[in-house]
Amino acid sequence: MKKLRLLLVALALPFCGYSQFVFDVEIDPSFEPNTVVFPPSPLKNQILFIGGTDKVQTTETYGNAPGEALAKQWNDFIGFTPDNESSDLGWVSVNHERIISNDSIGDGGGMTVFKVKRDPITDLLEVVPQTLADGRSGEYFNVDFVNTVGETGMNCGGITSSVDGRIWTAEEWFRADNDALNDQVRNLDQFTISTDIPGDFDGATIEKFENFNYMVEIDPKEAVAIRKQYNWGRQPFEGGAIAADNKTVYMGADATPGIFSKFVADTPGDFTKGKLFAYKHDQSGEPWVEIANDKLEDMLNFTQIALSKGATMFNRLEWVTYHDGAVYMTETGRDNIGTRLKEGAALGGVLDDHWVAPLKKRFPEFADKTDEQLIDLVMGGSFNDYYGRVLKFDPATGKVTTYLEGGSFLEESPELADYPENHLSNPDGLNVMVVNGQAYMLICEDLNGTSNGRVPMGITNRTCEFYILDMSISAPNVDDLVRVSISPLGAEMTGVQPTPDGKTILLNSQHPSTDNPFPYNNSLTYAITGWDQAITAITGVKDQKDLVAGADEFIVFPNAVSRELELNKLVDIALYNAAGARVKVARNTKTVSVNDLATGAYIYRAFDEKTGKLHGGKIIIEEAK
Amino acid sequence: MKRRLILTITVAAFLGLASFNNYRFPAPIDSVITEISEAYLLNIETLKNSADTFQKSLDRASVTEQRKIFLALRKDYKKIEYLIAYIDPEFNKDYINGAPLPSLERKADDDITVLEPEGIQIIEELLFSDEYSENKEKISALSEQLSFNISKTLDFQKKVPFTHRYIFEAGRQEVIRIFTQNLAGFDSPSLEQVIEEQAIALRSVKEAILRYTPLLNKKAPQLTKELKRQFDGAINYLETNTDFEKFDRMYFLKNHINPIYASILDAQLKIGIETYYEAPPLYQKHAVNYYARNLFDPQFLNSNYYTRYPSDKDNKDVVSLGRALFFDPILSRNNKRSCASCHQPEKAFTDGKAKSTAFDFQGELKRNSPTLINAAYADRFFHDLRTDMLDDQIEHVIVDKSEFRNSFLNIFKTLEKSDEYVTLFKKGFPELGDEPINKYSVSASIAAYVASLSGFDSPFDKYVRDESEELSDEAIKGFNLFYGKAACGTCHFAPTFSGLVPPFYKESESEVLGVPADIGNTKLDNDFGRMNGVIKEGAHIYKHAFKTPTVRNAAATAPYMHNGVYTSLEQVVDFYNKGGGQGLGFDLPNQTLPPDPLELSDAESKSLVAFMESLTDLSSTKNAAPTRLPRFTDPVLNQRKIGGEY
Repeated sequence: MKKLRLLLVALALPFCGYSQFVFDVEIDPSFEPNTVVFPPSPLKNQILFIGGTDKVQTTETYGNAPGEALAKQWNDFIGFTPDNESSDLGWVSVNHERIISNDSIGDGGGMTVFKVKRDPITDLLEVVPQTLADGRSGEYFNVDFVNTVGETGMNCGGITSSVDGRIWTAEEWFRADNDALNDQVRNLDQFTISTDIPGDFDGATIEKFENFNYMVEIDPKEAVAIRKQYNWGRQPFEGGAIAADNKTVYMGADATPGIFSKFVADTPGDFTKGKLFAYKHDQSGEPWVEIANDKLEDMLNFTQIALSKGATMFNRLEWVTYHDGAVYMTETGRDNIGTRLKEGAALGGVLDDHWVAPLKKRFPEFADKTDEQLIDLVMGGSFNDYYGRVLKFDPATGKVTTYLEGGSFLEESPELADYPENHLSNPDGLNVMVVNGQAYMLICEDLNGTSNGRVPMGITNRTCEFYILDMSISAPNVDDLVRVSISPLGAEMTGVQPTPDGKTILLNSQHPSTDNPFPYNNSLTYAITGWDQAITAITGVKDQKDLVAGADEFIVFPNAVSRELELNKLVDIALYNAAGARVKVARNTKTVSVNDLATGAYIYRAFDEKTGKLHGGKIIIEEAK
Repeated sequence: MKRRLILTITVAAFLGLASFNNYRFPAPIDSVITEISEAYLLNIETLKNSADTFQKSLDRASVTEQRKIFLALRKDYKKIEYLIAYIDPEFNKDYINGAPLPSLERKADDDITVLEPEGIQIIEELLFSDEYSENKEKISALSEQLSFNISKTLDFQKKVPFTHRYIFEAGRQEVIRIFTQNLAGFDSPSLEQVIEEQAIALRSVKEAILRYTPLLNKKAPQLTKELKRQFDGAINYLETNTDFEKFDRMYFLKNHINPIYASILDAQLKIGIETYYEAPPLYQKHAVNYYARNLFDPQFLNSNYYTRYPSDKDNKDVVSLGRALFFDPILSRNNKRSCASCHQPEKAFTDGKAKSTAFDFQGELKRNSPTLINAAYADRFFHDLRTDMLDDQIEHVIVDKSEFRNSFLNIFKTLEKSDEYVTLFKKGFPELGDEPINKYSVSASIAAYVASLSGFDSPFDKYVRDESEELSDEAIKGFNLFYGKAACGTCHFAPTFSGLVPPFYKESESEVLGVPADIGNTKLDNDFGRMNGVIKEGAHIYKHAFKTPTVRNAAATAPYMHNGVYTSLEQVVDFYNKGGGQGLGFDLPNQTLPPDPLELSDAESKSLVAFMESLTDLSSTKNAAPTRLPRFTDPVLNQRKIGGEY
């Protein structure tokens, strides 16, 4: 028995024997071999809006006079609406993902809008003071939901129209009764709908909680809500996208089962009238089943009706984005699928075969299983979908396929040396940025957990990463991701939104970087500017890496944008400060971040186990001008 | 064996090739990490086989036999505990050795989902229960899942690159875990072999650390010998004193746990292996101060970890500003109430009332005012756990209509009228420039002040740190009961004696106890607690759940429980002795406290109280209040009273 066991383990340990060099705690810093200069990042970070700290202009609410209030926090989605009529850049809309009562902003969730312009010399953004039609004047404005459509709740994701920047906010966290509003909404009387959407909606009376969980259009220019899209169904919405025809809206629901739905307007730009569909991959002909959308009761039960019509079930759809005729969306995954899919299937829901590939990748022992068997496995809840993925829907073929499978330790990638830099766990925020004519996918993680390598070993805190993917790569995998930043505990990044000129990415975070002088304990909306200059520097690193990968000598070069030192060999590396004291040790790696180091001179020692050689040199991290 | 030999030779060959002109070649590399990880992975494989053996026994063997096989499986788990709980703590907690209680699914945004427990502990609970035969099917399903999950984590962990740092950190965490949780019976519902298991767990740590002997011998041969002596002594003590109730935890802590905890650190530093402070990203905050050499070192936990204030800032000015704000009624709408209204230093930062007085004397607040000494060491605040940072807790007090009935905007407007305050804010927050008064600076300074109120110098602490011999036999007895028969230590974890969970100290727990509404224990208190706290935790498992508070300074913080129902520690002990709410006959199906009476004698109850009384350190209450408050130009404002009027 014992012998057999030993044998098993011996066979199963292909990765044992990592280089494990013990570096000196202190060295003599006088030695100065080849020096690598680490230039400052060409990107400029700036804070645009601080939740909980910046003041928003409010309307008359609950009998309180218009005035000022501290903005709500928990910034999530960011919408961007270009200004085509002046030299200003456009309006930024920020979601607040909470349900919390507030006397002047309004109960429930909320949104803050503001306008920005670009400084022609520095390229940095500036918030523009405005006076709105309702007389409010200032920099930041609270979007009035209370007096327009009733309160909103947990404003999570949303839609920025790819056509003209119209904005919808998504109310995600699904309410099942008024108690679930937790005393954070003061008026729990029944709600009477007032809307221009045709059907039996106008004048209908519903329970208060039933007025939550819609896509809600807002006017970012006047900071008011326009309408709740009762005709798109009541769903736990996270993301959505509007196609180039200005008629088709694609929407994702963050649930298991989550329905992928679309609304097609009768007339471009008029989203009050049109048809609603749920995706059903196995439908003959067009893969969409229509859901009649003129009755309130049907719209309140959208998910059940869609499932009963055999809709395809997804595992927590998050953001949806539209680019070049295709729809991309994040399926963030779920550790415990449990009986949810079974229950969905009992109503009529089906699974498509985009599950087959990830399952085969994760469980090599299932190689001989049929697709049906694998689908059954997912349906049975036995597949813990730890990492999630990015999906692609091609309207031309009607198929949803996996565009980028998440995870670490997949069979084909990433290689050990690239872990944890190259991995993808629980993708959430998603967008496409076009810079200099080239499309890049922007992906934000929002971890569901820390197990199974979703955070690097030896770290128990949740960390979330933000990646860029060059979309010209065909059949991309996690090795093709370029990490832009990694955020510390509690600082999940959301709302990734590029400006149309391809120069700036807008992001939300709780505290984006600890090296910032201002201590951030609030939700921040910040801008990273300079992508038109920097994009090739960051995505070109892969080419540079390939170039030096085969070299005999040990090569170190800086990646100024991602703030990482790139190494062409798998090494253990220690960094020492100018006084010779060891400050950092990284193991089994081909990259070392310098983001966490102050500017100045450092010495590195790198041990390459394969050759048994110890390399050394000096790095100078330059100060930004 | 053969494979290991080959590896060593190859490594040596590499060594021969190595050359570097100007460098003195540092310590030799070694196959140590390969040996440790191989042994560890082999032991996971063994655990997997044990789970299968147990699964098979369910159809064939007698209950007694099944239990025996299961206890052997537990021992196999203890062999790998130090590393599996380090390498993938979340997976281990979710699927291998988590509490036998339902939990909420993390980060599920569409709904609140209760997950049923999985893993060793729930199997043990069912297997050793009186209703075994009804549980049979469930046990079988759970053990099948366990076996599957062990094989899944093995697949994953085979690919994990182990490094030296992990071994030392995991070893030290296991030493903390053995003392603060395992020895209290935290993870073993049956308590069948708790003490023997710790010998096994510690032996695994010993074997891993002592593989570094060749490296350590080059730097500090004496330390190798010392380590070996300490490990053997501790293991021997555990193997020869196996009675759960009689085990002398105080002796074991002072003579074995603390010395080993220090020596593993010494070995790591002597060899030159990096600590987590050198592991990227460097800006990570760490809850445990890795350089602490004693579990009861006053600096064992890093208070900065628990607030949003950056850890690298010198915060003397911020603390003193926070102190002024804490005692200044200017924060309340009527300028009559301050933080100190309900957190009075002379009452150990409580108010001595069952429930605090509300604004304008309009009744009372919902719950009891807790002490602020050591309050910072938590990841959740309020009895219902509704905020997750001390900095955020303050906002609730400011806006609550029964507390300060104020708003931040109003506070800024008022504070800005005081040149003295503006100067103090500028000094504390130079990075904020000309507008230093904002929500962050107000909250952060009060939080920094509260975080400064630590008290780890009680007679008990001095005794366990060998700084004093003065601790009554009764208190020592009480400590042993607290961590043994009375089972207090399974929720009130050292060193804070609160629900802050070791060895990571990153999560605050709540418990459902069934606290009565009245001192006569006649009916359940109707406060739903945590269920009505955070919107995403509104689940029945948290109905009547409350944060597990610190027992430190309990002698000075009567009355007790979230509603202040009990006026003496004796009454509190009596409540637990009766098995909490269920023991009192209340209908409370989700109670997390075992309903069985503890069967403590009067003398034992008295000892427990004596131990709790030895946890008093009120040094932070001395001269706590400032002698004056910052001035305003408005003479009316200058008449405000330090600490408020009521």
